[in-house]
Amino acid sequence: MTATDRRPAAPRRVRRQPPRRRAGRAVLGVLTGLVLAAGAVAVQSLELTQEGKDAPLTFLGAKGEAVDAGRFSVRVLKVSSAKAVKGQGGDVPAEQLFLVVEAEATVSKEPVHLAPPTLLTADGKKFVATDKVDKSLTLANPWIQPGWWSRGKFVFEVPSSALPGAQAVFQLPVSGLYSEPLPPEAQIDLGIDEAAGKQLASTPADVVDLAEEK
Amino acid sequence: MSTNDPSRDWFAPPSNQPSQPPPQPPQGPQPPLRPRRAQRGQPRGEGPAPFGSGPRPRRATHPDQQVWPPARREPVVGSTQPIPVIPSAGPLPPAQPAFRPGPPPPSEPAPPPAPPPAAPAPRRSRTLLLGVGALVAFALGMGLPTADRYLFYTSGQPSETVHVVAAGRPLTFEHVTWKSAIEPMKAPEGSKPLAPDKLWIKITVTRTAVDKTGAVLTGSPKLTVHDRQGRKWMVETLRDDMPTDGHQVGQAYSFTSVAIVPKAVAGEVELHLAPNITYRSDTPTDKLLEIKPEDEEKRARNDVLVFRR
Repeated sequence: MTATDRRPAAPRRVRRQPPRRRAGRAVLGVLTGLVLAAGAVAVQSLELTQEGKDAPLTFLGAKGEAVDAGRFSVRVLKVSSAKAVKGQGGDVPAEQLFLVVEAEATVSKEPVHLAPPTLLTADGKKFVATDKVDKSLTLANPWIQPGWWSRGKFVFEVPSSALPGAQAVFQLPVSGLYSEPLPPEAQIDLGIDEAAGKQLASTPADVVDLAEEK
Repeated sequence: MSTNDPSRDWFAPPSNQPSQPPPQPPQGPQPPLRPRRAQRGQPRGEGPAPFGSGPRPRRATHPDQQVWPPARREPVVGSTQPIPVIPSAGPLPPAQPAFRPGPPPPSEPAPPPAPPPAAPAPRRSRTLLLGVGALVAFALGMGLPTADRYLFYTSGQPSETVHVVAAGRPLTFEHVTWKSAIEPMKAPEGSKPLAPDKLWIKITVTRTAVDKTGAVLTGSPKLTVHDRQGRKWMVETLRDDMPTDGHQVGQAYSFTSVAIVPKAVAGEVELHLAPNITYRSDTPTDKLLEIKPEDEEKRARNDVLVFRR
């Protein structure tokens, strides 16, 4: 009798199986066991990395629509390019190209600050918002409060090849020790296709004033 | 056992050995059975002959009829121990196929068709069980670490202990009496013009030390305003000329804060004031970072005064 034989049928019949059939059954059992063990090992490799476990919950959207990420909502209003931006200390020139994203944000209950966003390019590269512009001039400065939309600009410095298909990712600032599991993030397609990318790269504005109509 | 006759059972006596009728049967009920079986199994005559036919053994005339030992006294598969031949007992109960020339092959395939009708139901429930098990395992695998991290996160965010203050009344809490007033105000000088649906409000908070401990608990409270739906707005300090040290017991000190709220809720927003009840202005500098158990307890309580309007 083999261990795989679960039928309650007469044990005599099993005992009388030709030895060849019994051997075949044993080989089959060993193979099945090996396949199952290999599968179990393979499934282990699917386990999330720590980075994956810490990854935020992403809410997708497109330019012009309000993307509700739960704790906050963001809407990208306008995307433009510039050779320089005007801050408090005068014009800041770009080495590559300034991509200026004008956006507005609100929350449903708790006031928050937005962290400087990240630009995610079509080929997976990430650019953080430039530090050539003081944070206090961007939308990261004001409290985002319930009841109204706060409007402001974010500035990225990127090569023109990064423009087509780029998306902006908005997050909340990371808090210290007790960091929140599954923080929200809004990933918004800036709607730059090939033609628009060329347009932005070839005709940047000379200067964009960050202070105007904020 | 010298001959090798395939039709003969292993433990049957050799054909040349005269089989004898059993000696005295030990059991009571057996004797009556014997003649009856013999008659039933022998319809073509010669039934009552056994005892009258002389020395010729009965068994020889009915080779397919088992008379002794009684058929199926024990399950055939009960023991794998070979039983020694008892010459006087006659042949052992024959194995089923030994006496049936044709039936064995047909009877073998017969049972296999029987399981299939019964098979689908257990298999389906087993598949269901496997699926449910996989789902439960997945949910637990994803959920337990997340729940653990959430519990850790909330352990750093103690829930508030609310102390409600009646409208316009003061409240004495932890050596200090607090009082507040909220009123609309003009936009501060130099501020950007507001949208028409928003309003500046001015929040005046008055604190009075009740005793000497209250006079040194001079840490700034945290202020927010909330509407009835639980929405919350930040409050910024506009003017705070309280002395940082040396409060007089019994003297009222005030400071002014401002907030911007939607005009629709400007009349209903309530001040939430979280007093700092752990910082004492008389703490020596080298003990500022000392962690005292009673302070930890106060921090975990997370007291908030809610001023009704």
